Amino acid sequence: MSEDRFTPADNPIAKRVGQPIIQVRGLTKYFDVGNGLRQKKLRALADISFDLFRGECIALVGESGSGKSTVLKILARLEQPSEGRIIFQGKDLLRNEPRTASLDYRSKVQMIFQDPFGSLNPVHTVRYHLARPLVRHRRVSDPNELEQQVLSLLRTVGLSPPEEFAAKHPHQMSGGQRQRVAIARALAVNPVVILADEPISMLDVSIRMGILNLLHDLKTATNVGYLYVTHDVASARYIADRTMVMYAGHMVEGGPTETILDSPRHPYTKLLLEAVPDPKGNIFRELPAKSGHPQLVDPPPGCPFADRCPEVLDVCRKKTPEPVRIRHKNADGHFVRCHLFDDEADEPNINELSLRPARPSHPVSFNPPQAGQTPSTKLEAPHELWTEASTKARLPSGSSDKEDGPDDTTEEV
Amino acid sequence: MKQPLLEVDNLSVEYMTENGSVHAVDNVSFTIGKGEVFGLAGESGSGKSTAAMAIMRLLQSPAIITGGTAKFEGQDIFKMSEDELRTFRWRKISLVFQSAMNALNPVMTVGAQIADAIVSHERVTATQAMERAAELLKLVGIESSRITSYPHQLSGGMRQRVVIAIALALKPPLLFMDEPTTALDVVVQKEILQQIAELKKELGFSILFITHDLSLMLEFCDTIGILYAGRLCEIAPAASLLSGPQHPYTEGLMHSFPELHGERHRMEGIFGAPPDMEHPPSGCRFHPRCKKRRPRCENTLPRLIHVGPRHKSACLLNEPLTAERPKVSLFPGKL
Repeated sequence: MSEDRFTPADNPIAKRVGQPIIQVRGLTKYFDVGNGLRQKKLRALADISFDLFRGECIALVGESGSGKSTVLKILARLEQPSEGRIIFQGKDLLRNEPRTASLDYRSKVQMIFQDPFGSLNPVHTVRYHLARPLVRHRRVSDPNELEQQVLSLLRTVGLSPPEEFAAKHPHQMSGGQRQRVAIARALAVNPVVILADEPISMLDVSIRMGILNLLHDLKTATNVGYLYVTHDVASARYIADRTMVMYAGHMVEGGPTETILDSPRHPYTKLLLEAVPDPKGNIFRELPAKSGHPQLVDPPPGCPFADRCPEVLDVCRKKTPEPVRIRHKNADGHFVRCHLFDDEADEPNINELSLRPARPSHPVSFNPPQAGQTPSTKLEAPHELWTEASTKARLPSGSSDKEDGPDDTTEEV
Repeated sequence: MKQPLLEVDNLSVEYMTENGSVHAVDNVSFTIGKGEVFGLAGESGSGKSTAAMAIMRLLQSPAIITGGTAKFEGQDIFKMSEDELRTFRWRKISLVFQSAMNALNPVMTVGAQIADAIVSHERVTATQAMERAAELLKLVGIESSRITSYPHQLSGGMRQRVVIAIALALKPPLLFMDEPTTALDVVVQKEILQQIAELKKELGFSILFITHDLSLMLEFCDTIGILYAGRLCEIAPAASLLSGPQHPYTEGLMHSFPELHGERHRMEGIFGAPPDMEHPPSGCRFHPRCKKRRPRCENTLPRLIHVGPRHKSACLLNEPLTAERPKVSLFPGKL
């Protein structure tokens, strides 16, 4: 009935107006493990970089232990990164607020947790949960306004009648309703970014779509940006404009969701997609690689996937691959970190179907493909935006280039 | 048609609570043939695990079986004595528990745990049992040198394989698998399911597969029964369920799993929430959430009737020869 509201194939470029809200550059996190005598470091994140724009949803997908939730925790300032920078609305966050996040940051970046049974306090009513952030962040001036705000939040997330729900305690609601309260709580202070950590994985299957649709509609209505962490690739495809695939703390591939899923490049992405249950699939279809656990404590040099990779090269065990931009139709910002794509830098006449794409010869000004090369009618319209967006989405900017090179554009704004 | 191995007929289970009895499983009937993979799908609280536990007679108070029969190779399980049950369980039907993390004893080696299952049912020496344990480990794809490992030394996927090895220890003709891969990563999940499918081909056992993940079920099972609020609302071969679900709940479930391929479009899922089982809705249990409901659905309990070859659905819209029957095609085709 409401098909017209949903435009999942929204051109990701059109959305990237202005500067990104969050730019993450070279984010690295080590956890101390081991006992007092033998200290060891576990590498949870290695050199993570990406941009998040307003009104955009980025999905971080990967298996457990891939570091996807650690990214969220660092952005929520629940963990301190070991290295790297976070540029929030053009300002260096870790330099300005090195220890704890300011009230302002906390109001602009909100989080939705996985477990709606654990994230709401059982002794308080829904009204209390929603009123607290409004009071704490001074969004209301009198009790009457507070009540109006609480009720309007409940209406926004589809809990009606709001008066009734405001008086309820968490145990009087179903999982889906609780998650809606958690979403309302995140929305209370008008955030610009919502960090959603597997928001549907604990819910009953029949109500998951309702929550995903709510998140999507809120994105359209409020232009909020999402970081959506999930292990469920199909739900990422449903809601996310861009998808980043993580493995052992590395971001191995990223780009527009459709592109990643339709033409994955990294061997790990291919494996992951092959393993997703498919109702029309054949159970006996062999996987391209075996399961296994990457070594996170004292990781060996090189690509973390080298041990399991069916296409492993000698160089993979020596050098960590740098992000390489993929150039093909709808490639907008598609990058992969894999040595298979290293030596293809200037290959002309890239076939759209070629699995070995080339790096653009002029990485900074990545113009729309010229006639004769891969034609793309869809991407030609917003010329300037396109160039600008791709410059910004050009992931290597902060991470792979040397530090002394020209920095990303944000700080001068 | 395959010869049925397990016949469950009108199984009902109630939980006796302080506020009265709760019908967790309500008149559920199905059969599992030799070599068949039968899937029971449903949301949490739909009674899928309770039904499996009831068939194995593993329910504990306050749950009691209030009706129905379950026949294994013609023998009524509910009429067995304790002694008969001892030889029946594990030898005829074994169980793969949901959480491999917790199903194994942390202070016993995995070899000892597999051997334990063998020794307690068969007259074999400890050495023979250990030898068979090593073979079983190899069978499920773990090196037999791992026989001396403790559960914490194995990954989640390997622990799940050990649990499967224990279930296979006595070569039972039927395995119950209660969400065997739920806590695992997709790659591990796929590997384990492939392993199970291969073992099934080799050893020829049947499986009762329980999960809430419909896409997994459609890929893995031959026949699927959909449970809602303790009642079967649809039962069909996987292929016909995929091509033409007949019950509005199944249809809703199909719209609850985003696809990996094809065009992206808005999916609605199912509005409302699963019912409170202490106060289930009158009539068709699904009517408060059903988009196609008729006034009649509120007070008439639909019967499970044939809507196609081997395809049954319990929806008043499918019941023929009634004055009120709305004009809907029996085979609306694709979703």
